[in-house]
Amino acid sequence: MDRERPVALAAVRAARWAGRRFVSPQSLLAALLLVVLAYLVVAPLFAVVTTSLTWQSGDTRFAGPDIEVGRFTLFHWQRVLNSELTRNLIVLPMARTLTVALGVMVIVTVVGGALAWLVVRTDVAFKGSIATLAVLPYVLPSWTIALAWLTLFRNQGVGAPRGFLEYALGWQAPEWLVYGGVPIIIALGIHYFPFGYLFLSGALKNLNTELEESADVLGLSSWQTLTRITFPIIMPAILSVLLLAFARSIGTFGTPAILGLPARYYVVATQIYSLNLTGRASQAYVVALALMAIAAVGLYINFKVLGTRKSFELVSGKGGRSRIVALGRWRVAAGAAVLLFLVAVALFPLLLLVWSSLMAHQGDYSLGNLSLRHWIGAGTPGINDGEPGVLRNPLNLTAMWNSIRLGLLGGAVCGILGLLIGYLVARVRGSLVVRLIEQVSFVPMLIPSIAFGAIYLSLFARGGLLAPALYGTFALLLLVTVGKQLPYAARAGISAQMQVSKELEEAASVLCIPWHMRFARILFPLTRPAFLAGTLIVFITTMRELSLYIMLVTPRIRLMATQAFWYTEVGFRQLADAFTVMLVVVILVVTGLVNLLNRLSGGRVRSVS
Amino acid sequence: MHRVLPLFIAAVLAVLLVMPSGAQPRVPAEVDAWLKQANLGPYAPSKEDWRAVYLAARREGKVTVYTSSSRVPPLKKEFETMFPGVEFEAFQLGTAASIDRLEREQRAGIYNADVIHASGYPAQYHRLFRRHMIFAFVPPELVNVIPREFREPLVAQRLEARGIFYNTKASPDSPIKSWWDLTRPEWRGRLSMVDPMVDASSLDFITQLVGSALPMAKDYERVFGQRLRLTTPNAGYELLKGILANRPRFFRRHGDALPVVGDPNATEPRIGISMVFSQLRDVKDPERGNLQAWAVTQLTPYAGMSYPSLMNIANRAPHPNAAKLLIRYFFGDAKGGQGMAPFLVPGNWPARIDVRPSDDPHWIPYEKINFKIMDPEAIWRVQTEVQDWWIANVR
Amino acid sequence: MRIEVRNLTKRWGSVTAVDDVTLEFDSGGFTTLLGPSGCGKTTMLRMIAGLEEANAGEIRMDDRPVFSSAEMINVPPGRRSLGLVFQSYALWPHMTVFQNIALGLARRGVRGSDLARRVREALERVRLHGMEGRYPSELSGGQQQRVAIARMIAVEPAVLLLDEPLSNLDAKLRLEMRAELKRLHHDLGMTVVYVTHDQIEALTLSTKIAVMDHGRVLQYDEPDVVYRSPATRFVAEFTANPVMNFLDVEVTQQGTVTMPGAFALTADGPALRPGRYLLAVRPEDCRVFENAMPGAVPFRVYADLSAGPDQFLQVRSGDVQLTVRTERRVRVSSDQEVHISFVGEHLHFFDAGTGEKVTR
Ligand SMILES: Nc1ncnc2c1ncn2[C@@H]1O[C@H](COP(=O)(O)OP(=O)(O)O)[C@@H](O)[C@H]1O
Ligand SMILES: [Mg+2]
Repeated sequence: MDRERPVALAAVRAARWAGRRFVSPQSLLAALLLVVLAYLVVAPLFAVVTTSLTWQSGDTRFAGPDIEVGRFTLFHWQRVLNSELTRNLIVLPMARTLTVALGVMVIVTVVGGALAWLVVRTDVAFKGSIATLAVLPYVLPSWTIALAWLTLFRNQGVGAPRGFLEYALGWQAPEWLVYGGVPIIIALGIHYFPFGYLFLSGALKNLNTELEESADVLGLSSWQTLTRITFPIIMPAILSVLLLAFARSIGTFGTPAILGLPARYYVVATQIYSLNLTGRASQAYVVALALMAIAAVGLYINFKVLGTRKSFELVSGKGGRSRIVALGRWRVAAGAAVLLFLVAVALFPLLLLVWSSLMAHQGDYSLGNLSLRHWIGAGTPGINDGEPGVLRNPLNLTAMWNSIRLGLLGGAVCGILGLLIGYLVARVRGSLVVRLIEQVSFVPMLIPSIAFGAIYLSLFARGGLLAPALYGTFALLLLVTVGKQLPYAARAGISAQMQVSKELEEAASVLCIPWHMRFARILFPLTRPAFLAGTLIVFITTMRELSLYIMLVTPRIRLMATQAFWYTEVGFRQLADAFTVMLVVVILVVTGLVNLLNRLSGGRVRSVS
Repeated sequence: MHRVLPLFIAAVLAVLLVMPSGAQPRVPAEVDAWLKQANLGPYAPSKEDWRAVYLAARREGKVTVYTSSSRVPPLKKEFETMFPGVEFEAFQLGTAASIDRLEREQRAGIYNADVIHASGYPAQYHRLFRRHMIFAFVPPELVNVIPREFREPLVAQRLEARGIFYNTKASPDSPIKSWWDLTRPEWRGRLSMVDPMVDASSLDFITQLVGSALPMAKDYERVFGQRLRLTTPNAGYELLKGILANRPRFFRRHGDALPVVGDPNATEPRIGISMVFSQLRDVKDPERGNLQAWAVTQLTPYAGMSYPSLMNIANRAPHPNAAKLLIRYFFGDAKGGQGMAPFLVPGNWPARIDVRPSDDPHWIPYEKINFKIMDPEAIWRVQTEVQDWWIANVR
Repeated sequence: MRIEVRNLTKRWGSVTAVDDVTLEFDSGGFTTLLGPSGCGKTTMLRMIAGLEEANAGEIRMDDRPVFSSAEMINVPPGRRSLGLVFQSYALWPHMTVFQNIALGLARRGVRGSDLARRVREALERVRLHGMEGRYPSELSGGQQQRVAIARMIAVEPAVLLLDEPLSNLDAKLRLEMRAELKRLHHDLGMTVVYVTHDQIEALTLSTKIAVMDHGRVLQYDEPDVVYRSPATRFVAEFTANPVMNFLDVEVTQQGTVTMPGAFALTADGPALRPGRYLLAVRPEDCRVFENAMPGAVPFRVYADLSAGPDQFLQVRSGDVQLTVRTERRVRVSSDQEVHISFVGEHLHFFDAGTGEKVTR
């Protein structure tokens, strides 16, 4: 009897604890997010790991017919990490990938940061146009920038058709400027600097300039103020930008394929893609996991730098005012220079695309060759197999609607999950569970799209433990979108929530305002720009994403990307270009509409700084 | 009879030589039951009542095909007019994804596809056919016009081919006579190639080169008048090594390589390796940039590799009768119409020998090119080795 | 509402922010937690509010436990019937003043014209009517602070917690706001727990003061008692206005207080045990004479720092320096000799080692 008493006591205590102790909404949220992530991320990750550690059906080619599919083996790891393939399969591509990522990170932060500073903190001329054009490069599919690059720089000297520069100036660019690491870095840098601009301008807007002014007063030089005060304070945003630039540049396949392959400049993304397509998924997964390990180091550094102690709350609930740097006589000159740059990097590729879509005959740039045939033509037998213009094909409209639906829904779900994750990370700093959530939410960034889609097909297509049968449903596409794009929204959410003082929420909890209302009425409105940014980033990405869906789409849920893929595959170059322009226009229009709706519904946060 | 016939007889013999016999391991009972019910495999009748098949297909309501070809989706209209009530659902996935997706679905017990219409013979044979995931079906009335190797063990719709293209502006006639010419230093920086690391069919292509080591070695002696001194395992690798030494430019798709090879402003000769013959239809078309390229048709030891493009019915196809209709439709009629029409182009050769060749001016008769027919067994056997070698040696 | 805090402890890693504190806050009282920055005041307040969970101890409000580590009770902040004004104000920047105040009321079911009325009343209490439509960024610091208070009192909590509410305001506004706060407390009759590091604020506003240092409560008494009879050297120093004179002294067998090389005097009252002590004496407890007097010690004027009606003198004798404060009576010049005596009952002796008050 006596021996049972402690047990009884413990039971009583536990019951009391459960009954009377107040279970914080944070713990409930953490539990919920853990479940969601287990479902969307951990299960696929687990599949990646097990696939890399077992024999697959195609592996009879490596190991003879006697292997048992699904049986444990270290073969794939050994081949990738310790064989004659290691150097070319992983070491070299990894080194190049990291080089590219580093270069892109620098461009994205420097260019994005400079633009953000100009727009937010100075009285530079043409602010409106700059702000609009600065996001355009991200709206363009990344390969359009790569192709525009080639159109400019390629030449007979590198064994390619003449580009504009050779044509106009007779100048033959050296090979390193046409193919390889340098153009990849530049093209990706151009494509992703809008990230830097969006995140950093958000942070700068929220930054209370009194913090900087106090440094000025203390006699710090402008440079010291920038490096010692401003940078550290907007560090979470900078880190987010760096992480995004890193993840995007290691994950992008199109640009390195166009600009890298001709010079045999393989990066990890091309390597993973090729292994996947040549029946070596297991080895692709090993490479992907190695990349994840490296990225984990990056995340760790991120944690170290951010720490759990330093606080970077920018929205403090205490008033403050911004100061604007007057550029004086540089105002117009600076604005014009920036505009020129943006036109070159953002508008030029788009114009090239538009022009190409208007060419009756491919490659003939004369004015007489312009025609609307590929846009609104009814289709001439014998030309493009009688395929009508892109606006004449009803399938394109269905595809458009599906893509928009998928992008916006996926974006909204991601945006909300991102804010929730950001909330936990910002509020419950240092907790192991929360760290786990943050880390795990980052993982899908590093699983290559095509593999991600294939894994989802295996996991979710058939009903079972995880879900009802989702094969061929829109829900499955939505699920895979949310799973794959979550990291981007999570980054946006984390950096937004980090900037909101926890006391703003505490004030409400003291007033007995329940958690869901605190979120809806206080946290959400304050982080709404980030939510919107996260949603739109997911939307834009989804609109063009192909490899993620190639294993999952059905003709019933045709997407714009699959249509574009088809045009390209058939070789209807102008139709493909017209369709890409249409895609860009759709993205711009929807993005504009969303922003407009947001503004109409009072979503503009009154300036708090 | 048709002049292509002798060639096909030769092809039959060639394929028979390399084809494993007793191809498919024993069929499991439940699959056998399904075959019986669907009148497929051993239970396929020797004469189909197509009226009855159509009525059954109409009850099934649709047919689903995974295809590698962008030429398939536009067939929807015609098919649905010919067979009202049967919806035509085409997934254009590319060869690798078609195979991969079908395999994953079958493993997961999802039976969505009726027909897989793609090349990738070695992979389809080993990964799908030997695991009872696909079954051959030929309309019985066509047996006489389709050579055996296009019916067994798997059914092919047509032959495709890959080979070497050259720029006709810079050199009106083929600038090379032998594969070994490509290893000469004057070609340094002038070679383009569809990347075998990214494109599975190109990998098949270079694997076939390695698989032809003996003729390659002989050809070397003929061209250079001396014995080949091996620094690699065999003459095939030696050839690849020589080509790589000339630093070819790689492209992801043949569509990206063609404008470079066929650049109408080129002043120096250019060569494209692992180009797809069916692209010849795009050449010299002002709509498509007036590209100036043509295929090398005579080369020692062989000019290119031809390979079957397959179409077979998936295990537990949800619409087996519609699938049969679709196969028949893909074979087209004797005039090369219906589902065969988009494939009756230069560089494609229908499996039906009774089909009249196209009157396209670019049409090249199959026998005019000294092709080597793909050896799926050899490719399957040595491909990983070749790929490993390639990965380790590309700089 | 009465609040009892028992054996409350809060640690962050190796830092003990609040160390085994036991306190009782009287119902309707105005209790101040006074102490230097970092002594654990905010942490105490946040634990009372339920925003921070203590590692050990118990908090009761009107005998109802709202927190107990032993019984595993932790009532969420919203159900403790209290209001908290943050040092940073924590106004919701995206809401107008009206919306900031209305949110808590709406949560309690107040709607329509009732809501508008109560918001207006709350704003009137803090004398901010007419500012309903402004956003926080359009208000001055003092106005923001008053909105923060209005937001909390609008829901009529039984307890109002204030965390250094005046620390961000200028001196004039601070004086004004002190009066406002006192008025508010009087009118509303709430229990107020007030945190400050400013002893004047504490002394003027409170009904009771808890002086804290390093997470411990050193003294808990009425302001008067704290001022007149500091329990430790630290309290004496911290409640100084503006400074406290500390002298290392020795008490002889005869009960004479000496400072070697400076002075010797006979203190009134019961004698101390002989030994070394720390003697604290407030400036106002010193008397200044121009001429020698019995019991007065000669000093030399170092500087006259008088301002207003009071006279502040810094005087020296050897190494010893004193600040004395008198109502202006003597006319002195620098280096002039003056004689200083101490008012006996206001001499505070502390143990030289522990700093504890030594009872005579
Ligand atoms: N969230 C926290 N994490 C770690 N240490 C903290 C935290 N909050 C307060 N502290 C520490 O606890 C001690 C008391 O802090 P606080 O209660 O804010 O002091 P006060 O309000 O009296 O200035 C300080 O040493 C402070 O550094
Ligand atoms: Mg404090």
